Amino acid sequence: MNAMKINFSGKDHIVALYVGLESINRLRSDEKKKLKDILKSGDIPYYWATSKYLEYDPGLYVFSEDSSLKIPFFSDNEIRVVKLHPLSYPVKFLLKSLIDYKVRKELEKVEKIGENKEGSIIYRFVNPLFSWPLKEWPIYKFYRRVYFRIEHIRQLGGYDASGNPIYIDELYLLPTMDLQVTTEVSLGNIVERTNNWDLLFLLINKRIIVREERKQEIGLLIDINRKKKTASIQLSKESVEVTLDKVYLQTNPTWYGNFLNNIGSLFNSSYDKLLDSFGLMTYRYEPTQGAQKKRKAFRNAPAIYLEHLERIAKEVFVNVFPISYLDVNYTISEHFIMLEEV
Amino acid sequence: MLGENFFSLRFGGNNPHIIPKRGLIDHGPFRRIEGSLRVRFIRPEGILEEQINKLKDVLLKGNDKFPGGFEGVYRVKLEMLKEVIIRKDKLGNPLNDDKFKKILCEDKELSVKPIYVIVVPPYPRWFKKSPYCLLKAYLTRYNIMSQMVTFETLYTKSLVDTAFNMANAIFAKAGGEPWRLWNKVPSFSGSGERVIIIGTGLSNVPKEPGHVEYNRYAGFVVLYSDEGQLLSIKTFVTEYSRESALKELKRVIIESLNKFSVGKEVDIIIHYSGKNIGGLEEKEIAETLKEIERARDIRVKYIVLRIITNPLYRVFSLSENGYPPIGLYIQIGEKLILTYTLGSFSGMVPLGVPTPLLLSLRLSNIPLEKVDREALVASICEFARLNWRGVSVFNREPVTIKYSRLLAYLAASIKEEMRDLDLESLPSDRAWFL
Repeated sequence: MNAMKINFSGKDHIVALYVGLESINRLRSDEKKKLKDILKSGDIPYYWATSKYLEYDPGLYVFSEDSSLKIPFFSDNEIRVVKLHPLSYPVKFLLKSLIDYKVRKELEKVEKIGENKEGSIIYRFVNPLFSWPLKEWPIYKFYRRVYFRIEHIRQLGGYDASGNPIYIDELYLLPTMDLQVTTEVSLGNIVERTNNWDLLFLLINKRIIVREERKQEIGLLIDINRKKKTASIQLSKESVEVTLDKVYLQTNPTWYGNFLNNIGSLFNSSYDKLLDSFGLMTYRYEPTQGAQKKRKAFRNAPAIYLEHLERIAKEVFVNVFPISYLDVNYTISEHFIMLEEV
Repeated sequence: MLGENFFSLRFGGNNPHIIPKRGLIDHGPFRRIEGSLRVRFIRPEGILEEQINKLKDVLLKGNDKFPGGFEGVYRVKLEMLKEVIIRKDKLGNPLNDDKFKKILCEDKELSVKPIYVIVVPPYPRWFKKSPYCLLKAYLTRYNIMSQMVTFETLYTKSLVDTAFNMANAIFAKAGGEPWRLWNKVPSFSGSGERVIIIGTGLSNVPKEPGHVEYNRYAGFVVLYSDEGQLLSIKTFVTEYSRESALKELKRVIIESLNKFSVGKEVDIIIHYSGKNIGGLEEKEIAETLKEIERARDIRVKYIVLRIITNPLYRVFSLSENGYPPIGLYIQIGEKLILTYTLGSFSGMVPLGVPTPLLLSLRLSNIPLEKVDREALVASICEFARLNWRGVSVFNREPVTIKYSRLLAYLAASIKEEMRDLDLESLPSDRAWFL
């Protein structure tokens, strides 16, 4: 399983500042938002619990190596110092933040691009794996994306002399990866570069993207006006006419076979090469061999993916360990855990 | 790991098979349709003529992969009615096309209505006036089932695969049952006489497509028996208030369950996905089941499962080229189970690297240590094989959650287009939304 065990040495606890739910509840929603913004912008790790989980009371747990840290909006008597086990549930939020901080500061080859809905952090390798049709004029760019989250597991370790259960807390780092495809050349740019208007008519009735300033919307290409250099597009609510420099292809190249085949032949970079790379990098298809046109499904996709993922996990995450925090030293296993059939 | 018997399907004459296509070809569907089935193609003028004619030909006559066509596979006569050709300028809304309007007027008066196969441009479904939603909404009012096929599908996909997938969905919409489960989902409590599987969901519907301002909730409740018989589908749309949505959810669960006899002791497994159902809704579902228990004097044991469809976990096998076996499950802590609905299966493997599902055991009225985990995993893995939208061997999500978004959006669009249409009048015994 793609889980790497996190171990610790040194002190047997982590100190955190804790604010109870009653104190938090007296804040207005804009104040709560401001508090979160302050903590995030200061790279201050925290765990915001709205309900009790395991033995941890709801409230705000703030982690800081600076013992004089003040938490805005709360008076001193509302803040308590609590000691947490270095592998406890709240500490997973601290570790997530510490790892993210080190990856951002120490690794230039990846950039953070955000978090997904489940709160996993996403990075992207700065250099694309593949560009098409030309490196210097890429309609498509393929990037490797890497995700991670910290999972807390509580196992029953046995019972003490009085028959009470003894629990063992464990933390694991879970890395995964996928492919990000971007399109960076507009239809306006394509027609400028190829001087071939007929090509654009192959995109009629296809889905495209309209990008304006920071917004983008999916639409259906209805018509091209060569004289005005515009496209008529049906958007979700209305029909619009926009200049071609605002119109882009969507990120799945297989939707534009005929069009991209023609583009490829103009730049001596075949559409097959694009599909081969797409198939390989999504672990779905093996490259076509010679004249054989039918694509063959990858027969050992998970095995190859595993090999790549282990390499990338070492490159990105193992590299930033050991991590020290308030006299606790964290290390990580270099290998994924093995499961046994029960 | 679940045994292979959990993945067999039941076809005509109670014959089992693990591959839907083969099961249908060899034994026919589990439950046939009486009489004949009528289909009318609605297609655009001047384009895709060759592909559409070939598609019709495969449906009528079949070929080596679809032997005997629709009639050969589904054991019911298929009548192809005269097609309607839509003018190019009316493609965005065929309801404005005179020929279409005239035929529709005639068809809606028929006692046995044809199923329309409509070739539509690839408008995203969430477009406010997309032909997909517009036509579905309009035709549903007259109890005319429709099967949409996009230009893209006809241009890029294999016609035989398209024909087989379409045929299966058409057959199900006409009231047939292509297959059921071979193995019943076991009782998770160990004492349930019957097991009912409920899929539910709640979606917030944006005021305008693609926007983040919401003005309605759309929800659904779908009920299946332990052998995969579709018992009931109900949808609702409410104003954008949690209380209203909860009230409707409760009403629909009660109404759906009250239609069926469940014996003296029943196990209920509830599947949901997404974040719109939270602690409050879970508790309300539990209260609703308690109410049913009291009112009907039966013993209900329930468990609520939240299905996380995109977890970061991956498991690799040291053999089989790394593919985890289908039906593999791993307990993570007390309340989580990771399971693979896709993986190596009887020598077959899916495309790419399979992603597991993570099941979170949210709420139950029996102690979790007494819950049979294998029964819960069976409810997920077996129900992933019940997708009648096509005939593929592999499906990742159980049908109880697969169509949540589709159903919710369709219900919301239908309500928007036909404000006076009562969603209660939609067929509750067949998968009209496929």
